[in-house]
Amino acid sequence: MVSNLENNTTSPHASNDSSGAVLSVKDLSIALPKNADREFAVKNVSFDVAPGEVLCLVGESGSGKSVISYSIMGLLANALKVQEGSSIKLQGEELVGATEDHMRDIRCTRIGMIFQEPMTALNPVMTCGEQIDEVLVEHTKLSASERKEKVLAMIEQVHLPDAARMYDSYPHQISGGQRQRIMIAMALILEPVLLVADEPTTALDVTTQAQILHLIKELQGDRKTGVLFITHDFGVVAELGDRVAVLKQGELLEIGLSSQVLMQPQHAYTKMLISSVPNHTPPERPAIASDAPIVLQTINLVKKYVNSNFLFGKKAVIAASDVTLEIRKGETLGIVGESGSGKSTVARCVTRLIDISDGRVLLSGDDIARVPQRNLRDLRRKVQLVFQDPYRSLNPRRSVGQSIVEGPMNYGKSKAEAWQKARELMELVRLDPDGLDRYPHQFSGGQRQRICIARALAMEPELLVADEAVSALDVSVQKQVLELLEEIKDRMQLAMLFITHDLRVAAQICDTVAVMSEGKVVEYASAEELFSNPQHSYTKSLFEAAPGRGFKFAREV
Amino acid sequence: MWSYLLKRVLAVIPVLLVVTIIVFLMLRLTPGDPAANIAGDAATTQDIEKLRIELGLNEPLPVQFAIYVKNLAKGDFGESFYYKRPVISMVADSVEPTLSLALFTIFFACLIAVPLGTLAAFKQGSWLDRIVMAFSVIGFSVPVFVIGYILIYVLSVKLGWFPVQGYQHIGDGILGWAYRLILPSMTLSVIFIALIARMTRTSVLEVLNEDYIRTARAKGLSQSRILIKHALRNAAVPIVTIIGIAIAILISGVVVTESVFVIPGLGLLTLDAIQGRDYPTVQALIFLFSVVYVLINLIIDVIYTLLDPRIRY
Repeated sequence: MVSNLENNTTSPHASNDSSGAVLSVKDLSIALPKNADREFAVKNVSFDVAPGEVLCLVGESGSGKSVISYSIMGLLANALKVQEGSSIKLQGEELVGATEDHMRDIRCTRIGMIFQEPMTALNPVMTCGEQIDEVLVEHTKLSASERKEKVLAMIEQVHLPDAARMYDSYPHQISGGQRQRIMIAMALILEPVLLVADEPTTALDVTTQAQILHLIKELQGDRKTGVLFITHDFGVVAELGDRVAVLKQGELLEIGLSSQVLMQPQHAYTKMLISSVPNHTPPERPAIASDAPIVLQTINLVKKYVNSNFLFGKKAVIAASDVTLEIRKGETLGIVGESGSGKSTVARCVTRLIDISDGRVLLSGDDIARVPQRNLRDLRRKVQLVFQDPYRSLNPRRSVGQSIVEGPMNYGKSKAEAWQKARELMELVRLDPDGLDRYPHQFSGGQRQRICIARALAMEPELLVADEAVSALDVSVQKQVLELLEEIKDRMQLAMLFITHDLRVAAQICDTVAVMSEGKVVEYASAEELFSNPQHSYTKSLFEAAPGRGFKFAREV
Repeated sequence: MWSYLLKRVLAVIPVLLVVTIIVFLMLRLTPGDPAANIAGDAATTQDIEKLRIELGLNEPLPVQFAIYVKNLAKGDFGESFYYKRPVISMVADSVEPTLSLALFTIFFACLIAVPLGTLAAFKQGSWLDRIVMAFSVIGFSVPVFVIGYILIYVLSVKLGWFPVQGYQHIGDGILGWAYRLILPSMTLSVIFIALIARMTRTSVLEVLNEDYIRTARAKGLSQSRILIKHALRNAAVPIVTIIGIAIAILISGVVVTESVFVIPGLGLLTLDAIQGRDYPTVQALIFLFSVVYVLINLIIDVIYTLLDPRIRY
């Protein structure tokens, strides 16, 4: 089903002769273990990567994109088997069937790899320098002083400040972006001909992401490194990819120049995916009636964390300062910010999961900030949460139904009533009510998030707090869940507090947006105003960093 | 770090105070009279009473306790009722065998258990893994004295490879010292090999699933380097914890082993002192054991900071 676009739209970097390719994958099939949901993780996938070219491999979770990258590195789990007839050639040399010793010689010398989570991908008990140095110890015969010199030079090339200090730092002492730079230094120090990047910017803040993408582009351009870049984000593709290959359920649907695929996708699935990418321009939204009652109001909310130390006395960290916000019935307020901006702190304060240090939090006019713990029962019902990770926010040992009815029954609903309500809610979130007897692991991520929403709604809350509720979902699923949230909010006239780091998502669902940075609200305006005419420099820098901004994605008509 | 150490050392004081009181009371509130014990079967009531006055046992308990604590503060543990020697010198004589046995055992156990556990984790599900797991179940379930007598029967009595009992001071020749320690150490180490190997396996298994192990593989490192430098070092904290606990258990365990192999160490001394109701000796020994326990814990906490740079006090 590979689109015939491939033949007439080769990348500017690619030579016409495929033997010039750095990487040439042909008819790659990888079988899944017997009891899996499908037979093949990857089926008959073919593509080339030319020197100096960036090929993006795009797909949703389960598309097999990571499996492909691991098979190139020879790092597949034992349960996954590359099938007969598959071929992976590195500069013409066949890697399928190569011995483990030979693959070890190739790793990091000819193929470098970087991973998604810079937090966990580095060894926490070794200094960054030692970890880069190890590559040289393993693969070169350089002396200790030559190695040190080379490592320091590489640390400088990835634009880290104070190379000597970085060398001696442990991973937990530096930021996520810096860690990813260390990973890149490690992967590229021996100048491999191919870099495999498995979602390297997904876990990073948007401004950091922009910097890392820029760095990858710079380094691979200088060295003519071929890059296989795995991502689920079309913004990143628009930013970085020379060509793009679209995968679905292990099959390659479409491959071609990025600009062409993004603007004129051929395959229906690609069209659907690209049109699901949320737009930066907010849609027209009905105005919230100015006489709608205010559900939640925070007045000069402050949250301080005090660290007391035996020797150094007290040190205060201000997580949120002077936050003044309000949400009316039927309104969605978005809080947008990068990690550490204080957006989750505010969410935790208004739900009284943590106590505030100063200021007031009014829920329907009642100050809830200082209500003693034992009187919080009523608040708990009125405010409900939906969390980021639907895989971990449902108890795996309880059926979905048990999870949903637990809250209402706790608040005095009869068993029959609660179960009846649960069935209605399942229909509301468009799931089969018969699924109530099943367990969370039997549902997909998007379905689980729907269950989480149903669970929250079962309490008939006045305020729904969604903390990064769609961030862990694939774009197509994300779109559906966003639509569902919007519909439910309208129908039940809820007030919604929507916490997100993703500007595009905020643009789609929020009536009003507060941008937070370093604990402060730096800009607070209607979504329409904010996105068309950002005032604060921080908001502007966020917009500029968003990948693929200004790119005209194909829209479904 | 230093302020933390100071805090920890100061925290020892209340612990030792409580231990001192409990041991003191337990000895005196349980039946048995040291004076009668020492005087022997033929002694008259007057003889015993005289002895009691001599030993200071006629004073009321609070006075006895005050004298004891006062001497303790000066570092004086008193004199043995039996041997009429300062307790501290008796302990000093017995420390070497016990320490030799304990350290020999723990060294032996770690040497076998850590590599075994690591390999079992690396080859999860293999025959090696299954043997290690089976051994650890057996090691846990068989009592020390049973293992001791079985080893003596097979290796000493039947094969004649090792002496049945006894101890040689390290000053009298290091080879003889080590030779005589092998059998008792083997006996004692069985349970610790089981314990440490199991903990190592679990801990390494968990670490092997971490992302940085995948990174290490992507760097083209060799298996042994990945296992030792990346996996084992990260798995070390729980392993070190269990070794610390093992040492603590070991010290109480030597009481049994020393009596089986007749090694003149602290275990035997404790046993004799309790049987003879030799108050000063028992008090001193338990006081010392407590200090050692607390120190082991402290040392382990310090080792954590060396193993894992994220742990800071």
